[in-house]
Amino acid sequence: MAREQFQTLSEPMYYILLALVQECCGVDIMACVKEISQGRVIVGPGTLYAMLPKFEGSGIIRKTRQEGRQKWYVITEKGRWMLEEEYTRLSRMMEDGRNILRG
Amino acid sequence: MKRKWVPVSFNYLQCDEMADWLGKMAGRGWNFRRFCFGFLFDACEPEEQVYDVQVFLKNTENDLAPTEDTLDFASYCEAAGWELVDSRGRFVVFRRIREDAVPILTPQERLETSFGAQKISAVTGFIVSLLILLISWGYILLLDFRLSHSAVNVFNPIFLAVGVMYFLLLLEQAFYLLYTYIWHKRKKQEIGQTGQLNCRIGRMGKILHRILLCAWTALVIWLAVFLISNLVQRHPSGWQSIHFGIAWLPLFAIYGVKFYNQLGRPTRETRQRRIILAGLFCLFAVWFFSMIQSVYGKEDDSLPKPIQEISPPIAVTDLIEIRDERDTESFSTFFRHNVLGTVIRYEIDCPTPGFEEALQAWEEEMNRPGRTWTDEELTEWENHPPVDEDGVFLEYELCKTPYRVVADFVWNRLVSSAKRTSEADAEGIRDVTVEWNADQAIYLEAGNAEGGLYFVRYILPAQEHESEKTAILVIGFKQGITETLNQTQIATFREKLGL
Repeated sequence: MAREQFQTLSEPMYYILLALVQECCGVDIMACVKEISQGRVIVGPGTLYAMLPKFEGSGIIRKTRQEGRQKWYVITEKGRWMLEEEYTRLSRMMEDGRNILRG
Repeated sequence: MKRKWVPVSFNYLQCDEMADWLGKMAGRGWNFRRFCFGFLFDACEPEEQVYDVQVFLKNTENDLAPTEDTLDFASYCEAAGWELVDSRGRFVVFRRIREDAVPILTPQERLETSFGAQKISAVTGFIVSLLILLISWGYILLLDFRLSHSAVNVFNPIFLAVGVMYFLLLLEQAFYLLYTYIWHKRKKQEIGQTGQLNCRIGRMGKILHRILLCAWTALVIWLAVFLISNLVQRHPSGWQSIHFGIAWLPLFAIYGVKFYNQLGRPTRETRQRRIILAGLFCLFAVWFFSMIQSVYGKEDDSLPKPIQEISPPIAVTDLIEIRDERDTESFSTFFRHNVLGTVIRYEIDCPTPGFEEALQAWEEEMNRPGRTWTDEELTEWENHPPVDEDGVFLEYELCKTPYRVVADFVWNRLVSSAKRTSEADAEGIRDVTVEWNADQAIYLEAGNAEGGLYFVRYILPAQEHESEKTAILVIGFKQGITETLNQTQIATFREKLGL
């Protein structure tokens, strides 16, 4: 199952999935991630190239169309569920951190 | 346009070194164009260029040009500010086209791809070297003695030289593989400490890499020179050279095809088709040379002429009396000499007068045009060839070596192989040390009433200009001579061979 392989999403994985909430061309994902993270997170093309087939193979994203070498992807329901789970986990972490650090 | 070819080699642990070097070449006015048995450059205005060399694991060593997967990968990199220049094997070279180009891979990812590719290359090289060594030495150590009851190949200089070379190559491959793992561990620590990867190898890695390149190149060149020079000079080991030529023909053919591929850079499918055709060509060539050798290569011309013309020290007439008119001078001689010692072998055939004609007539009848055979008739004919009941066939071989360990090895292999192939039971194996007054001597009955085998070993004392040596004499006779040698015959052997 996809959840076992991507038990915890790394930062690049998280932002790639965020970028694919809307249909996006593979090569444009890097720019989307940079924009979403306001320049804080940079995903390299090699990292992205390796990650997209893994996501697709796990059913987290799906290819919507292809024109020549350009492929468009969008997140699936399964992927969205994973993203929500990760968001919830990170939110709890942030909440716990706030309780401790901010009193 | 002016071009420059630089035959430099890098391995997968040297990506940053390659990138820096390409940048320096650009600064000197040479723009990297493509791979071609090294690097091909176009002349340009000196300019600062930044290169990035990646290892793409989806490719294989045989991909000589960008594949579809490489081009897909390159499309992502182009969006990130990197332009694909060329790829070969698992190397993919990019040139920066935007100042704000994003790094293609993280340091950890780069480490794993470089290490992964280099590990595959090193393990493959190690396995290939090991297989070659096992096949070449396995033949000599295991099979050869059983087939020929002869130590001829142990003292063959070519076998020894090639065997030692294979062993050294294997050793070097092993060191290289070990170095690859050590490099990976060190670089992992480097990333942990600095967050960066410097994809280069140290001095030891460069030494190993260069030794490897030189060793493989030297091996191929040496074999080519040896083969060609022997054929051109009509050296007596001409047929032996052809045998080695045949053995190495597949390697030359494959490298020839690889060279041709480097120029044309075909697709993976075309390249595989060419390799298959080269393999089929090699099979045809082996068959062709075998046909030629079977027709023309009856005599062994492996000796220098003077040795070929000298009669064997012991002839058949030294052992028995031949009363009829027959050729008692028909013999073949084999001589080998290397650092381990020398071996000289004589094979003497004395057929009964008229037997060879009878044998030829028998073969001609079997192959007579127009003659039709049923399966039963043909089988019956083949199973009853003429038998030379009065023929005499003698062979003997004398090895000499100054090394006790070599003598022990040859002795043990000869005797154990003969025991395995002979049908002699325990009663057919006799210790004849006293009869020969030797260090060790064994007589073995051969199977199928084919005479016997003697294995005799002497320690020859040191002389004025020679160290102490061990001599091993192997005598085999198929028929015509009594099953065992009498004292007079033994004395003849000892006297004439200096034992």
